[in-house]
Amino acid sequence: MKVGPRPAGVAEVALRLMARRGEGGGWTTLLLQPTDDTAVAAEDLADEMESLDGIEVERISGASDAPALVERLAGSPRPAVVTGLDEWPASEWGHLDLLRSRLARNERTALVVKEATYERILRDAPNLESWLSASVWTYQVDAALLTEEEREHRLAALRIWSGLSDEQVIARAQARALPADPEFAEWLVLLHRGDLL
Amino acid sequence: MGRFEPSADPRNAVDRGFYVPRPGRSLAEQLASRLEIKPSASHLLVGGIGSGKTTQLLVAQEKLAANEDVCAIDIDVSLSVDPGRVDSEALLAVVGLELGQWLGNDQRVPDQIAALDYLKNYLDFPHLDAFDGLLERVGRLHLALTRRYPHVVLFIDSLDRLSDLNAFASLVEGAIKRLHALGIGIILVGPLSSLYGLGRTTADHFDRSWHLPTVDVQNDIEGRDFLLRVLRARDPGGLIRPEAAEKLAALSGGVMRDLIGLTQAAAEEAYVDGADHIERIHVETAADLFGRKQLVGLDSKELEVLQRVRTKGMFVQTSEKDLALLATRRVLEYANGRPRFAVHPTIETLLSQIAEAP
Repeated sequence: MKVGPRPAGVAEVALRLMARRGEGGGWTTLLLQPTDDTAVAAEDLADEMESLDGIEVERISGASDAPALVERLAGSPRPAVVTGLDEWPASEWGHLDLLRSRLARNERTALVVKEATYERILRDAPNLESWLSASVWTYQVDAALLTEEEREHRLAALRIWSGLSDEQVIARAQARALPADPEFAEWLVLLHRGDLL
Repeated sequence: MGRFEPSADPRNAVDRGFYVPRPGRSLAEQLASRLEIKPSASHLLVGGIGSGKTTQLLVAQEKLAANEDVCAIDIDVSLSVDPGRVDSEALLAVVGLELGQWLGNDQRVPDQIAALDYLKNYLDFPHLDAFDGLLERVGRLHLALTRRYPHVVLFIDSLDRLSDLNAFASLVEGAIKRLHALGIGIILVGPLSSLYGLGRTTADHFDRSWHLPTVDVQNDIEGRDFLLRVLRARDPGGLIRPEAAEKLAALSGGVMRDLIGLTQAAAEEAYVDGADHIERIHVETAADLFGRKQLVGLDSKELEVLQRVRTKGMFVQTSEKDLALLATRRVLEYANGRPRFAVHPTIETLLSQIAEAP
């Protein structure tokens, strides 16, 4: 019996990460299998994050070593998707662990890595790993598509949260009077009205 | 959710009033009291990842800084130099520059400015045989600072991440020893392994060693109540239901950062669910997510070890892999009286399912 992080699509991962507003940023990790296309998954995730919040997301790919990654992250005030670290040896993760304090930022960061890389992080960067906490997901393309039941459940949750109906949300979106909360962007997508974003 | 961010700077948590002292006399209080009596003493502080060492260090520094005779300086070494390459010379330079900051621009005389330039130059262009020169400059700056503050105490953080005990020993026997000899008080956060085996000889260089233990949530009622108070301090609005808070305390295993991270994950589950409060079910889902990632990459031998810890409480460190299970918090050690070992609560159920699987 193999137990691993729960599967999730980029839509869900993006929503969970972008919902973390406030100080301290926050990290999430998306684990890919050997056959998954990292570049596509990372780009899809960044696109989702941007569509939810309207803020440009920094794409950081292929940092050569830990100091380079730290420099690039520190240099960006935006949410970031980090990828291209799967070739790092264990020692470089150990190096990043030593530099963990320099990774502190006030914005959200998504790490997109192969599962084997995450094993290295667990083993060689335990201080960094403690920051990643429970937000670790196994990438699943199919999980991006909700079942009808899941879609209805989520719509019901959004209606309770806002006190609005689907019709009211659509009307406000058409009048460009919808708040910028990512939940409203998600709502429109669930109603198949992504054209109003 | 921002109140429960595991990667947030501990200083922010202290500044926002989230700090809750541990039951009895907290380690921060004890450190501050001892340094008030003997400000030139040296102390080594160790503890597991996420145990709250930096928070205790910051609180101790704040308490001591309230004394007008003491200049209490906190230094995160990793922000100034690469800890993977730090040696005694680099540490002296970092300390000297921090001392210089406290002198203030308008109070520096030419030889102090020259000393600071020398130290800055060393960090940009390290060279051999610089130790004595660096120490002399640090001594000069320390002397100048003591005209304003009779006592200087350094709170040095981030060296606990060094896995190379020889490198750590070299820093202690080099820079730390010589700084102490100047009369500078030191509290240094070091690797947990410096309290065990051969690392013990390094710990002996300090006047006193302190171990910040994991809270034994199962056997320590005061400890469990402490964790509940930590949650309440960050949740004045009462979003966390009492039964959910109890569950969070239990499932954290007593690791402070895991308590915070699990709470954030539970808050996220509540958010996705459209719920107004964090309920027990959200905590259980969060714990499942947490536990699943803890089990990534474990081989059959490691799973065997974890099953033995889970079912018998037995854990004997015979290999590097065993030590890694402790370092990565899959195995937790409790030192409340008689030491005991347990698997992290978030992996208990999953391990049980694995054991029962055909």
